[in-house]
Amino acid sequence: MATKKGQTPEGPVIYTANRLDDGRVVFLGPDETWVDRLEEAVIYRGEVIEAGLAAGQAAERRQEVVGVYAVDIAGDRDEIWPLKQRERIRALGPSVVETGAGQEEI
Amino acid sequence: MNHVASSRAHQRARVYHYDQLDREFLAERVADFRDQVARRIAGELSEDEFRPLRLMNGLYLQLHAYMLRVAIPYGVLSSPQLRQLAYIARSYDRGYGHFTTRQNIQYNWPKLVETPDILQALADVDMHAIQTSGNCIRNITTDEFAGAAADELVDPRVYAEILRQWSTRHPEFTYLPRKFKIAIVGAPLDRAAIKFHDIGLIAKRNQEGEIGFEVYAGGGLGRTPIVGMKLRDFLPESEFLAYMEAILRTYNALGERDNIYRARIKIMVRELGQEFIDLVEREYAVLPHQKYRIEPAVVAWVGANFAPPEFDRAATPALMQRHVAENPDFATWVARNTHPHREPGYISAVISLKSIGGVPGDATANQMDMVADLADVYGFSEIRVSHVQNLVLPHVRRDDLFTVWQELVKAGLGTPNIGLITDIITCPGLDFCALANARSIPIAQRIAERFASLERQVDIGEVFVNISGCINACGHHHVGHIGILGVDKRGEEFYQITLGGSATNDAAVGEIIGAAFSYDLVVDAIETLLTTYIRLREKGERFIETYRRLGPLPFKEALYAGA
Repeated sequence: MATKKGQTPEGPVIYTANRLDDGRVVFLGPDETWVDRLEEAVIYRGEVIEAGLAAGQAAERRQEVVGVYAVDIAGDRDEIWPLKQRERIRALGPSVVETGAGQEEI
Repeated sequence: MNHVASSRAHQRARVYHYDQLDREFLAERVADFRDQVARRIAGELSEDEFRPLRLMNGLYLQLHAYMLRVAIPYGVLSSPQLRQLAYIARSYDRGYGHFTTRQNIQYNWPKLVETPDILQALADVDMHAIQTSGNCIRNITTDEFAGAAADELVDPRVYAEILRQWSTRHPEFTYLPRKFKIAIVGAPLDRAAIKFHDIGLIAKRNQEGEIGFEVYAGGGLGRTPIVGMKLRDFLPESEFLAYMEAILRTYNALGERDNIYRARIKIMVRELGQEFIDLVEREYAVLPHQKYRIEPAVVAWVGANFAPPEFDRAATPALMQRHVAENPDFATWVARNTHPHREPGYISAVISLKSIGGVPGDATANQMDMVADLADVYGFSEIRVSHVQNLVLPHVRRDDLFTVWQELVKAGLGTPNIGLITDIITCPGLDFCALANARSIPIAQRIAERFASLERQVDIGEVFVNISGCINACGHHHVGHIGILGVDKRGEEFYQITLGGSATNDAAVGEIIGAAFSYDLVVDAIETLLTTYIRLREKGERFIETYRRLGPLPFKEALYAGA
């Protein structure tokens, strides 16, 4: 079930933020490090959910990341699938080929 | 080092030329921001403390990364400035930029730590990102054909620049209740959607030939789309700034600051009606008019920046006419992508940034360089950005147009679709924007691909399709003949369609036609609307005219038959 705003998530969730110095999307990974790849995110369930949030907020206080929040997901360690389209696009990047990408320019 | 102070191309272009004071101010702002970024990285500033500082310099934090919005004053660029935008795209971003509906450019992937260097690169060409965010007066917008159009009565760039100087760092209007947008035109045909701005101005002349302004206020899109209300029919030129000051003061004093949804001036104007005009006039009456008076010398001083270039009076259309007769592809492009010029031997060339399957409004760094080169050789080193997200070479000799077109085609910039169904206004949507509910770009791409046949586009004729990924309406969906608004339904994308909007003289807000369509079905719905139009249209009738004649019913029936 999707978490509503202001509600403590029930899980499973992952934690995400933007890295401070370049703004890129990151996920809370093993050993409370921040990882770039969705599949490397640690999944939080049940009573450890709050611990994940605390770890994220501590990183925010250390000026590593900005705007930590939980993302509701489906799946398991093999495949993490954010429930909302917004979070899928945020995690995986724009759904369109970016202008000029992979092309030999004029 | 300032790159443009001694650039011949920049001096030749009809842009406002910075003086030493302007440059010193920008240098101080860049140094301030460099210090603020260093303090943020060092942890001396929290995000809450830093956010307003970065926003004042146009730096947002979007869905995937930071985003830098750079002001292009009233959409006017010199070729060295466009080259510098290309340099920034190449050096600090992913090799492209996105031109917006407010005649700005956005970079989607700048790093915070490099932003001070980007601002320095902008300052090097007399540009900045100041007041591209926040509750202040934003970039003034105008007609992309200003100073060139055959139908122009008054050059709006002069007054746009006066407004720019007045509104930049205006101490009283730095923290307005909400953002504030001003648009101005100087031709009878509104090409800047002035009735959908907080203030909209039409510069015109009276019978004595004196310049004055038709003044509108309280227009806007977003959650509450409203057509602006006329305040004055002919505000004399000398009183122009005093009256702007009176409108802003009235709004600043009485606007609702505690409810973001009611904070724009349009809510106030709609609710107060004539009383709003009375309040403005009362404020205006007590202002020290002499202080705000625009003297003819000031107009002349600013206007000198925009004096007509040295047109070749001997230029003729002969060669262009021959190429039109001999080359059908060129003839099609000329028919769609040019605009009549005030000088008989010249024409304005519109460069479509809406290639089939491309991202509307995007240009690669190499394309920007190439357009800058064309401007240098064929267009007095001047480029415009339109609010419909295309570029314009405003002054091209008709005899050079064939060569310009050939170069554009080589660069993938020769799409002949201006005003056709594939010339779609599109916001970045959920692919990039943190506020969006749904994607816009792939919808535009799928519509363009569905209607890729030029023959079919021409048969459909002029129709404006505008797409926004959320109710904030950056894609101007309310004023599209066909508007598409992305909405979120339980975490999935749906699209609401509006019909009958118009951004020009016959300003109108489109009406919602019915239930929203899924991502998969919305393009089919657009096709149904257009086939219905083709079936029902009378000879020579555009989509909007057929819609106005028949109303929504036949379109509704076609869309929802069997539902």
